[in-house]
Amino acid sequence: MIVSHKWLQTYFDKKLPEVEKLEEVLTLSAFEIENVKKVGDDYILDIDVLPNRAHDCLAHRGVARELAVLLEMDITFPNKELPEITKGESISIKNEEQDLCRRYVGRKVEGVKIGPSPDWLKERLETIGQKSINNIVDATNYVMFDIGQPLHAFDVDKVEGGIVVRKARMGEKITTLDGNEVELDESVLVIADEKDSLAIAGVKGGKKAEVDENTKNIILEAANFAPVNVRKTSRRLNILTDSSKRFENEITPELARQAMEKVTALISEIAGGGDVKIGEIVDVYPRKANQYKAGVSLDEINRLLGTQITKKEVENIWGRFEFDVEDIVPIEKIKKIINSEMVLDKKYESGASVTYGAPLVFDCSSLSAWIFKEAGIAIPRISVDQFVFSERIKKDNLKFGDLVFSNTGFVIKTGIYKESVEFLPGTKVESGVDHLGIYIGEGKILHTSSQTEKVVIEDLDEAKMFKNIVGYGRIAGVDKERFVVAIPDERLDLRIKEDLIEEIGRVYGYKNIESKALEVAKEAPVNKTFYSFFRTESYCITANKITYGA
Amino acid sequence: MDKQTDEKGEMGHLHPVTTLIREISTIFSSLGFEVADGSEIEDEKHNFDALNVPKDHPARDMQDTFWLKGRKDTVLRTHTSPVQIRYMEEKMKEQSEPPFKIIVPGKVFRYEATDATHETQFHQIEGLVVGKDITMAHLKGVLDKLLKEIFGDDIKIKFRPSYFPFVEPGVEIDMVCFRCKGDGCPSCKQSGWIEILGAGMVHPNVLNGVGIDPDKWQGYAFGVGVERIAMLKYGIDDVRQLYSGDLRLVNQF
Repeated sequence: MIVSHKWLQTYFDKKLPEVEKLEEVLTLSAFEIENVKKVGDDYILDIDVLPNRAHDCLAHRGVARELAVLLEMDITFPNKELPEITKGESISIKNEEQDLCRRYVGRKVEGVKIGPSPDWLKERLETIGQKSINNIVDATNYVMFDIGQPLHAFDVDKVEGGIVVRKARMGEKITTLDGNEVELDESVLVIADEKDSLAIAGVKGGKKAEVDENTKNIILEAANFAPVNVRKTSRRLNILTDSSKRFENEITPELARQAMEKVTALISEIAGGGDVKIGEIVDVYPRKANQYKAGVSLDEINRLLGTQITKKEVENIWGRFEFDVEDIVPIEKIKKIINSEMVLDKKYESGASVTYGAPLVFDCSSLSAWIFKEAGIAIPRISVDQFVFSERIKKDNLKFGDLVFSNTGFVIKTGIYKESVEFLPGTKVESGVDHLGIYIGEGKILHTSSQTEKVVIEDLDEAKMFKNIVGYGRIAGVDKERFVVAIPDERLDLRIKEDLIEEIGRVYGYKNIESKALEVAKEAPVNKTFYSFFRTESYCITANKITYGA
Repeated sequence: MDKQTDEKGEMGHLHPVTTLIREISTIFSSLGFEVADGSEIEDEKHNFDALNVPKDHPARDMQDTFWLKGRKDTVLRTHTSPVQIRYMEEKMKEQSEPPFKIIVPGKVFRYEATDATHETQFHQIEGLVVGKDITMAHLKGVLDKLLKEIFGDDIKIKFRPSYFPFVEPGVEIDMVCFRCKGDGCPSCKQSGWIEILGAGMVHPNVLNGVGIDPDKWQGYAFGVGVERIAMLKYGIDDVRQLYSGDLRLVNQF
């Protein structure tokens, strides 16, 4: 990712340090810098953004955020005044593939004047090695390199009917913007009108609705496409673009709307001539994910890094990230959630999603998974895995927050598990587990099932679903203080406690970790095969096609 | 045992890469590491999936891979890391729990264009330590020790963030340039530092996948490029010279 020093500066009121300093702090605490080059009166840094940060840092804003943390500088988000929606026409969008297209934000803008971009915009793009094309295309590119959301503009007058997001038909052909005819098949997602495909979704635009010098009315697209499909499509068609790169690395669907606002504001400023008509945003967003939460304790941080970082230092680092952090004792939070009736009476749904469904629908194990997640403890999703994950206790020791597992004997959709699936896969559970509930004291159990149809509280000894209890389990660490971090949407790399520990470690400074020698109990046994003469240091691979030194 | 004579009765000798692998292995043996070995032909599961590199994930692009024709899901291993998995799987099958301390020297392959610093074939030494309380501080300790043994006592190292899917946190280790001692010279491209190896704390998914409870055990892993060390230590400018069969080079060792 090539970033410009001047562009980064737009995120800070105070003056950024010289480029050498930026290079130094980024190298030491975030990314490898491939090189630094002077371009005109600006400098560019070529940052090697690896897949873990490609969700948020293939964009100037992501890198600026990183600098704000590392340099302890206040970041400001330049927010252009949003243009008024001026009685423009709406558009019709039909999304037939909600798994592949997670969000589609579209808007019609009428009366644009195509022309060259203003000098500042040309300069921004040219500095980072992009060609300036025209004001509309440049505006979409600018927003992509600014916040990381790929955008596309179609010429409305070339579109026949509404926008349809669908799979390509076998053998369907599209001529891409660079004039190549590409044959598609049913694995390819396309953006189409009622007749033809207009773009290979997230990969490349097509000729049919290309914006050209005569374009007057456009449809802007800010969408979110599923990473694996974009990756497969772009590899198979051998079309790698700045857009496909961002989608295959996954970006948050939350970006799409921000990008639409930004690009509209920019277009009405630079391609408007004062009389553009801006239509309403049409936002097809079937499933919005819950705010992700991950927890970590001070002890876990120090135990992995081998440090004695204090609570205050950790809190200071969270503050630098501007993370929203709760400092809690999990069991108290769990009590609060259960007592607040946030979950009681919520509908049962087999296979309910923790990410999308909770806290509106649950099944037995998504209920416990969600509650513990809110309390900063990641437990597996599936009931049998929760059984293997939790520590076995006796019925007499049951406390609030313990789990009670049963084998109901009812035929339910999920079936009966006799071994673990995701946690220590294959661990045998002879008794079988198909149900669980959370013990909430005084002989009561909180649970949900297809039989109860909703989350209920019952007497454990009376409950029909707990006639055949196969074990009681306790989740470790429920009574120990921990931080629960609400992960910002764009930080898709922060999912487990180790990810958070990395954030602490790199900002605290790896150089501040003192090396420790490993105790050597005994010399290792000698591997005799290894020291024998079997190794020949020569080429193993010989093929005519490989020419060395070429 | 180390030397053999040819027909004329002249003594042969070990290739510098072999010598270096043995030296490094000896250093680790004295630290209690066991030497483990694995196949150069590996399945996709051990080379990628079990190391937290799923199919169709962009992390797959970080290692250009030779896939074997006519054999399903089979590769020339791109790193020695699959041996971590095989070793742990084996141990768990025998029901012998950690602590584990192994190094894995071996040949690895990458499908990429060769130049002075890139070869399609090279050697790595992988290290894996799993125990109750193995920390990043220990990782620093062991790498400090290793690099001092190889390059002398006055070297300095630094950790900086990086990403390898099978560790978290992941780090890249730089060493103060042993030639210019940090002033900047052609060997270190004027930076004063030389990138020397990748490492990190074993990702919980890796432990979980082989049946080791990541809430009870933790550890570190690292991978050293042997040719890289040889080039630095012996002042060889072009990695390809090591495999050119040129006796003017190998006879210097």
